[in-house]
Amino acid sequence: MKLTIFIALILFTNFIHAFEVAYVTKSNGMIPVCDRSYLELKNLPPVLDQGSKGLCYAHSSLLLLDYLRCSKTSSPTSCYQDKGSVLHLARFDQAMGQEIEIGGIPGNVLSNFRYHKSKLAKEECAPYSKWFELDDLRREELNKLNLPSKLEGDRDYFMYLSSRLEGNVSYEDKTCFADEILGTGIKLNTEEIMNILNKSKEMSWKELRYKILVPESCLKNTISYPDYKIITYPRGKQKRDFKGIRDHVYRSLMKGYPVEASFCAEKDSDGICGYHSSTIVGQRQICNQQDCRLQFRLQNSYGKSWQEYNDNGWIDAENLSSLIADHSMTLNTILPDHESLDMALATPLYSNSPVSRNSNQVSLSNKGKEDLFGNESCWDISSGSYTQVQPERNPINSVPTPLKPTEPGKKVIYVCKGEGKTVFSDSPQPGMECKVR
Amino acid sequence: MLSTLVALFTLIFSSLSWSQDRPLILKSPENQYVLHRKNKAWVSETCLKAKCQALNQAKGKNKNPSTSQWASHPAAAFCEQNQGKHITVTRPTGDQDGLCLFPDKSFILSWDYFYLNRQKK
Repeated sequence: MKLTIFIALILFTNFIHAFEVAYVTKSNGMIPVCDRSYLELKNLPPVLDQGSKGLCYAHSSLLLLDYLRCSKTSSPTSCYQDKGSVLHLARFDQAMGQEIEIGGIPGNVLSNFRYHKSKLAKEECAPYSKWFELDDLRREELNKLNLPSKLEGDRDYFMYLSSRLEGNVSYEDKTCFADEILGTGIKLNTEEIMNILNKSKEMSWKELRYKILVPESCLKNTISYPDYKIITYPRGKQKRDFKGIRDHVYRSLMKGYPVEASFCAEKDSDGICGYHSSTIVGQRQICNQQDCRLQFRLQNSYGKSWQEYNDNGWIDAENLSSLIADHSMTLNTILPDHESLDMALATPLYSNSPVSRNSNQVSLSNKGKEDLFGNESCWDISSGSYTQVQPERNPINSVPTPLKPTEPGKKVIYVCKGEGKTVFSDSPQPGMECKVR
Repeated sequence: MLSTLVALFTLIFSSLSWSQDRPLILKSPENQYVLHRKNKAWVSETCLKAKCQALNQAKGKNKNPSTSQWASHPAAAFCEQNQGKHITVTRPTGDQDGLCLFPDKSFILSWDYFYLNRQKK
């Protein structure tokens, strides 16, 4: 009986594995190849969901900071359980002010946070969800009064609260507001909340929002982040284009760090952009018979389902780059103070030609997380069944060595370019730049 | 030998159907939500046997999320434009996800709601 169960388990695993292989290779016309550009970060923090608030800039900044803090510890998973407050981080969009703004600049957040000694309140002390709970109170009130909520601002609890407190508000009314806020479980006591409400006329409604959602007591027990430097692209005379973006991403991933990217995510009917900030955590090339395309992997703040619906975050790199470059947006990488990016590195790529025509190698993106430097699993499908092979990595800018033969006697084809000519041959051509096909 | 094979296949297929039918459990700070698979979507149990708002077709005029200087979370905005309330929940893996809650107490993963309705366009 034990043997039967053992065999059944093996068969079951193989069945699921075969299904996974079939699904990945059929899911789109292009397939990932065992390419030298493949990089994917491991030990990433959990995927977050920003909900309907425009706090993408704080979520992407938090991912960079948490990755820096936890990814290289002995237990990243337990390190990530100690979460920093995204609401507190949002306040660093401003150098001195203490407001929570809808929309912000990740570069500002990262640089102001570093300036303020890189200490963040804990999420459990200043939970993001409380903002939504307070907005719900406002919505319920609007529903009771049967008033239509025409503008987004109408639904914001703090805008409403601030406008109410502007007039002459009785002590009883203030107590009523205090009870309402305390009812959500926000970590303030009655005295603290009354103090804030009494001073409300001296502050903007966005500051009122910060004071209530991030209680001062939360700043006594903070999470410390390591010292870091920010590498922004483009810098100085760097051109803002696909090649530059591609190389910055490659250099960051090679060093083992994710890249924050801000871009135009959607346009309204008047052509006005809605901007978004997300994080690039991987890159790969996918090919079909005609073409090869570079892809970036995003870890977005739209929840795990977004990742699942969008090929685990793999998107076309050139499209994303034009949404960055055409709208004068930037990339940001943070590194420990003592590290730097290797500016001499350039992304190794197959050219945009039919590279996989003779290749039977398929790699599975979700099987390739073992090694930062691209030692992903490759699959030889030449014999009709899936056999795992290990590709050899080639030093950058040198003539590549072929992948391990997948079949005895199988030929390796080199595509060599130089002096305007392209030569296909079974050996590297002297004086030409050659790549394995 | 035959009985071993039969047992083996039964085990394989029962395991497969178990993995497909297993409910998805998501947690918010206050509640736990159990979701079941129906019409390529994860929905509340109330949607399995009767009509529910979570599986109603979204209203045509509200199909596209509104835009502003900062892009909205498309699925959250879409949920809220269709009488839903988007809340953040946590999967057992620690990853967060969005759930769209409707006045009739039915609920659905926000991206399932978004893509179910987008496909009908």
